[in-house]
Amino acid sequence: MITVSGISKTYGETKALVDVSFLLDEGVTVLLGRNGAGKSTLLRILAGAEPADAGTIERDGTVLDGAGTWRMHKRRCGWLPQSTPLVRGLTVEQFLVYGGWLKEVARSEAAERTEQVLAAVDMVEHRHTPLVSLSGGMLRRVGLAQALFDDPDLVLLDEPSAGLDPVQRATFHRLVAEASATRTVVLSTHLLEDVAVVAQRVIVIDSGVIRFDGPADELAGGREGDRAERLRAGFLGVIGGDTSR
Amino acid sequence: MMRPVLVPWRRGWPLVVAVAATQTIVLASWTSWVGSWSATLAALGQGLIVTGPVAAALAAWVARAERSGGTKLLRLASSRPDHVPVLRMGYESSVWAGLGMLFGGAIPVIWTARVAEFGYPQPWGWVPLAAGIFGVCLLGVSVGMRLRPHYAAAVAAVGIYGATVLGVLAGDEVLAALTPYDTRATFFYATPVWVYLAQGGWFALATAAFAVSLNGAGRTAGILAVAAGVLAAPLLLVGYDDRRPDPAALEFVCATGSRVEVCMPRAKAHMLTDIVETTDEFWKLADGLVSPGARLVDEEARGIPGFDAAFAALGEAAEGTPDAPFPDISAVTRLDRAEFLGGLVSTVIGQPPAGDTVLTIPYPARPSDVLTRWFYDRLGLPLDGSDWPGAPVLDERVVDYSSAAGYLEWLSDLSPGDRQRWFATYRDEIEAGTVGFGAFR
Ligand SMILES: Nc1ncnc2c1ncn2[C@@H]1O[C@H](COP(=O)(O)OP(=O)(O)O)[C@@H](O)[C@H]1O
Ligand SMILES: [Mg+2]
Repeated sequence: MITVSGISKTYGETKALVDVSFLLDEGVTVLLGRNGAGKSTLLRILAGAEPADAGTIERDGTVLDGAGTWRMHKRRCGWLPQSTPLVRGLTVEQFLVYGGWLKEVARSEAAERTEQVLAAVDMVEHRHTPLVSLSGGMLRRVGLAQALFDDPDLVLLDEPSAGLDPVQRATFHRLVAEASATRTVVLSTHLLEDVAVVAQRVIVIDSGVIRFDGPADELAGGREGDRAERLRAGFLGVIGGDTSR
Repeated sequence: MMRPVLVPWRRGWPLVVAVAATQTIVLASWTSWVGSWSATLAALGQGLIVTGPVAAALAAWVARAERSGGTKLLRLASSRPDHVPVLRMGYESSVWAGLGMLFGGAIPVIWTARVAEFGYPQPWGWVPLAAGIFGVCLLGVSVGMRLRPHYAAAVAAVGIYGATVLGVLAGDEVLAALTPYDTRATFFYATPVWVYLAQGGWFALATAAFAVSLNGAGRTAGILAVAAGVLAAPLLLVGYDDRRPDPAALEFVCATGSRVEVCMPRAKAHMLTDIVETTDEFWKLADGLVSPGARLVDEEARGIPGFDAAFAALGEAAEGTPDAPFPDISAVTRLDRAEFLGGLVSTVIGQPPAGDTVLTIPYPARPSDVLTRWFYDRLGLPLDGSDWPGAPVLDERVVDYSSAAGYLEWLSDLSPGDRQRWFATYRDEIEAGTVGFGAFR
């Protein structure tokens, strides 16, 4: 259980996040917003990669307020950044072990975890391939494997399906669905299709402000027609956007 | 068992190649270490003046991948403190650079192992070298993670080189005390093991403190800096005066040739064979000027505590065997034949008294010039002063032989027997520099 209260972040003149608050529980939450809405900033802050200017994050009743509590949080949090960490010169396996080491996974467990996540993302036969020679889709899968490496109970995925072709996207949705069975997963996207397929809950963010927070069905509303179309209409409705865009 | 590798071979090989190549070039261009373990070690340490900046530049280059947004964020989101991956990366880069050091150092070490007659590899002496490599790689990585790649490599190299120059300006004592550029371990002195350990320890800790502080872990950096200071402090109290001579290095070893006996301290004994051979060659030519069966003793170590005892143990030369002067070959580990022969020539041919001071150049050849030239010609030494530092210049630019051509010819035409008798007759005047051209007949 994660409680986010009053998070704000400003870059120079840009207000990336304004007083953002919400709760997270098990299951998939989709963070939906246009480019520049503040999704990545929010996930970076949740992952502990960047400090917020204001606000608190509470995890299972503990406020993350110092090096010790953040360290505990980070160990149990997997994150796939928007740009997959492409470490030049490392193979898939080396990269995963490196990521595990960063999360303080015991060395004795690293081998077993590597096998498990490689299998989970279907990359076993590519374990010795250098990251630089992977296709975009495979790289995203390696990124997901990295995020799942230590079996974290909070998984943050920043635009995981961006740049994937429809087949790869379907695979990815399946992987996310599997991963979310026992975990809290937050997935950011600007694609309504992702919402339609995997979301149990949607948080719509625009200009750093939360515009909607509720079940995907509620965003789709009781309107007529195709679910994706209804979501689109709902989304544009909450951000006050122009339906013709 | 799976170890995390931040700098695998694929990333690290340029470090191995560049450091090994640099090390090889530096040491090959400067071979005065051959045969002496201490000098070999000192040479490897001083090679760091060049290999250090090279290693730092490459480490900065290797770390360029860590600047990519994703990787950086991955590190930031890791539960390990920010400086831990940096230290690890510095350490791993230094393993590759260290491997390069080993490859580059293998040739000198093997060469010395083959010819050295005294001493041992002094493994502890490698500790400051390893720490030096670790330190420069860590600094390189720290810079490489911050600046654009080309820029970072240049900054790392120039920075390390600049720091070395500052160290040199700070003085020999400081440089020798705190860095692997330690020149105290010469022929006759051994460096205590703790000095090597402290040298390595303080440098590794100081660079780590710097790298850690760059990553905002002020407390850890402070602790490391204090630890570095604690290790460095006693080093500053051990100067050149405190070093301890090695009695075994001072012991004399003698070898006998066909005409001479040569005695040298054990630390330089690997040169004995060459010296005996070279001296015999000269002795044969200078027959008459020098007494047969003389003994040459290298007294470079005179003044070092323990020398007197070693000299006494050498004993008096056998009766009728005078001690002959030994040209200065201090701080040399490999015999420069030409320089040594030049030195031998100057021990038997004296310079004319100060009254005959030369006022014009070229000046008319004097008897000592003619004799020296004759020896140089016969020994194959050049007259233009080019062969070794401090070699006399005796060619036509300086000495006008036109008036003395006849004497030179006369000397060359003498049979070995006549020459020996002539040398014996004028030996004292020749040695004093007072012989005149009147004697040349
Ligand atoms: N490091 C940064 N420096 C300056 N501005 C930033 C930075 N990161 C994000 N922003 C700005 O904050 C806003 C939100 O960005 P971001 O969180 O990346 O949006 P999203 O992921 O929803 O596309 C944007 O206006 C973006 O330009
Ligand atoms: Mg984004």
